[in-house]
Amino acid sequence: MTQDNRSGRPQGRPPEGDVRVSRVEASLRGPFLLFFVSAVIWLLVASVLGVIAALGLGSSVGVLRECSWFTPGRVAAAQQDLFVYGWGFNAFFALNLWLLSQLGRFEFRNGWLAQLGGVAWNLALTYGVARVFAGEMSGYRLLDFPREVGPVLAVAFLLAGFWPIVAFARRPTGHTFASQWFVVGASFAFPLVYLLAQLLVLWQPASGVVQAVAHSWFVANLLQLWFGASALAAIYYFLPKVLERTLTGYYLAPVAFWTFFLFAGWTGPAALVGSPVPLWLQSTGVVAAAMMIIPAIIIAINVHGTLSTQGGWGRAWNDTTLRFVSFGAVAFTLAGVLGGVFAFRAPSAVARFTSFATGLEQLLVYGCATMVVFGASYFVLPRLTGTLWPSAKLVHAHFWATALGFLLALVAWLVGGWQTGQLLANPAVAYADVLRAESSWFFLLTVSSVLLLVGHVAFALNAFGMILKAPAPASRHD
Amino acid sequence: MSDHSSSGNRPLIPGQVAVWLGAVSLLAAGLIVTGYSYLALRQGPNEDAARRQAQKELRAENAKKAQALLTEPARNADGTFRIPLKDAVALVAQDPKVVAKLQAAAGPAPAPAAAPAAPAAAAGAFVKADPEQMKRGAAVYARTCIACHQPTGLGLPPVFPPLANAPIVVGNPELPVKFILQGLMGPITVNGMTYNSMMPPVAGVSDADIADVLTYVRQSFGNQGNPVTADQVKAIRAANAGRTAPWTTAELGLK
Repeated sequence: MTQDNRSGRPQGRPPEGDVRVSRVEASLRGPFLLFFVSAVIWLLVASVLGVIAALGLGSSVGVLRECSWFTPGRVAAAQQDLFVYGWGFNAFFALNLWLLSQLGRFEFRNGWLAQLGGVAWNLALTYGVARVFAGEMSGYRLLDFPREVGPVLAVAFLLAGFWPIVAFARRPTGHTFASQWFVVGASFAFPLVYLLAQLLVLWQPASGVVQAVAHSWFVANLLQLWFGASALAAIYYFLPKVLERTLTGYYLAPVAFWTFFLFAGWTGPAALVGSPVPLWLQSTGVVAAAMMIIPAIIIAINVHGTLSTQGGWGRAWNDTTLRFVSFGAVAFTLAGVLGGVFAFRAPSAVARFTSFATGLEQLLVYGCATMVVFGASYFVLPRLTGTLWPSAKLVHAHFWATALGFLLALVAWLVGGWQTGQLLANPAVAYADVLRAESSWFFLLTVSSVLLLVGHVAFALNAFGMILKAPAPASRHD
Repeated sequence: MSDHSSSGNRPLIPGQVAVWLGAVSLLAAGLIVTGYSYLALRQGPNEDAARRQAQKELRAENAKKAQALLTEPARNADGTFRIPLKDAVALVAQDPKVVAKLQAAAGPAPAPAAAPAAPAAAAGAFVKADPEQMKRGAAVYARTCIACHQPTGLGLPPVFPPLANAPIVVGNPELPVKFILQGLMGPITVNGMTYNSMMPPVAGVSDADIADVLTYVRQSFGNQGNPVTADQVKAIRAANAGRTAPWTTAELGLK
């Protein structure tokens, strides 16, 4: 227990020799572990599906082609849904609840309600994914599930994801912190956006292109206001906490929060540039995406400013939690800047219909949100279970496999997408040649998906080993 | 540690759950307001039916006006009528007094003396188009019109109207030329069916192309309309040179 920082040992752990867990954390143990364990299981399933999807795209694995359940369209959709709704949501249910309970000194007495929500969420998700595999998709990305799943997921969200708001409302002092704003915002924004999108797209469909507009609005809100905001909350918490210093230019953070929530909801139509929706709507999306530079810059000042003083980067690199969290912070800044620049019409005309948009999305969803959740769980789990992470080697394997795997995929998406876009725009190039050029990037994506799977397996082994060997929650009833 | 530790009587609804219920009600209120206003603004199926009914009545009212417009011959920019030279020669050869008869029939039409008008004779003088022109027209059709109006000319109901047996197509070529040049926006009724979409203006076609393709369409798919010349198209283009907005049937007196 005396390893120094460079060993890759996670630093977030209870004081030496004390396996007692604080009452706040003891009260969270049940719901947190339910959300966390289901999140990791979904992450593993999604990674396996990711490998299958990549193999299906890159080469011809005959066995899988025979079975209609494993046709690339269904596998890719199921993979995305499981990653977003299985991993992303469960993980942030756990993390947001933990964060706001910590910041609000909140002892959770109704854990069973949250657990009920978690169970309902996972059951509805399982049913939805089964229907996706059976080929009964709605055809709208991230709203793939048949429409009866929507209300169940929404109610489950209210049961599972609304307790951070309760923790916020019952905080003992009037003082609030940036993390709390972002989590409360995200927890209110998602159910509203999700139910309205369900209404506009699936239950009472708006006519014609309005449906597409509503769908793009939903996707942008889901990515920015749930994944982006929740990840920002964690970044704002762990950075000053682990570095034990105040954030540079923290007085700017309220501006970042309000501009982020003001503009993020409008960025959706930027994805529709060039499609038959009114021009003013496309322009609104472009303007909003460009305005997202403002919160991105302020958050960069807060985060990178803090990291850049007094050897912050070096300390972040040598701390497991901060290594992941600062990776996520850099990815967020990059996503904000690239998203703003490539929303403009000229670059967007090249990049649209290519994997470039996927790259920008994954920069936020994986590069930022997922990496931040990884970092946070290295901090939170030891405190919650009262034990240490079993293997430092697995921690290293986790970091390098996920970081390299993600960077490889990012290069393939962004560079490959841009190249494809330019070939598509060139009338002298035959479409078959465009496809051939594009498929040369699939090898990179396949390697990346295997690396990610390796990283996730390492993480799951470490986490499950830790949870299983944890002592019973000693301080819960004393 | 906690300042919410339970003491004394426990309330019916624990404080945490009460706050949760409050937050859920807040969200539900927001959702109901937004969702209700969306549903109120959205045109329901009943309103759709009512709109269709009103449209039907309007259509019946305008039928005569539309018929009059369709049987009217092509006009030049200055308002005079024009028909192909071959037709005029054929008419005069058939009946030397045709000009005087037509002048009497056209009545209030402006300056009909410049050229003989066609309405009375249109049915009698069907002129077969030059096969070369038909061939050129088919080529233009294949690269420009075929995507919406289909190789059969039957269109794709209820989105794209048919060209086959459509009175507008075989009537005065002014309307089709206008649609090709500036596009057509909004509802149009063809053979009793209302199509409510948009025909975009067709860019990059010359007067000769338009004349060829219209001639092709007017003599294919069972249509029997006279050929159109590039000069006619040129005149219509010149008459509407400043216009960029798509035409609407309301503006043209159709419905």
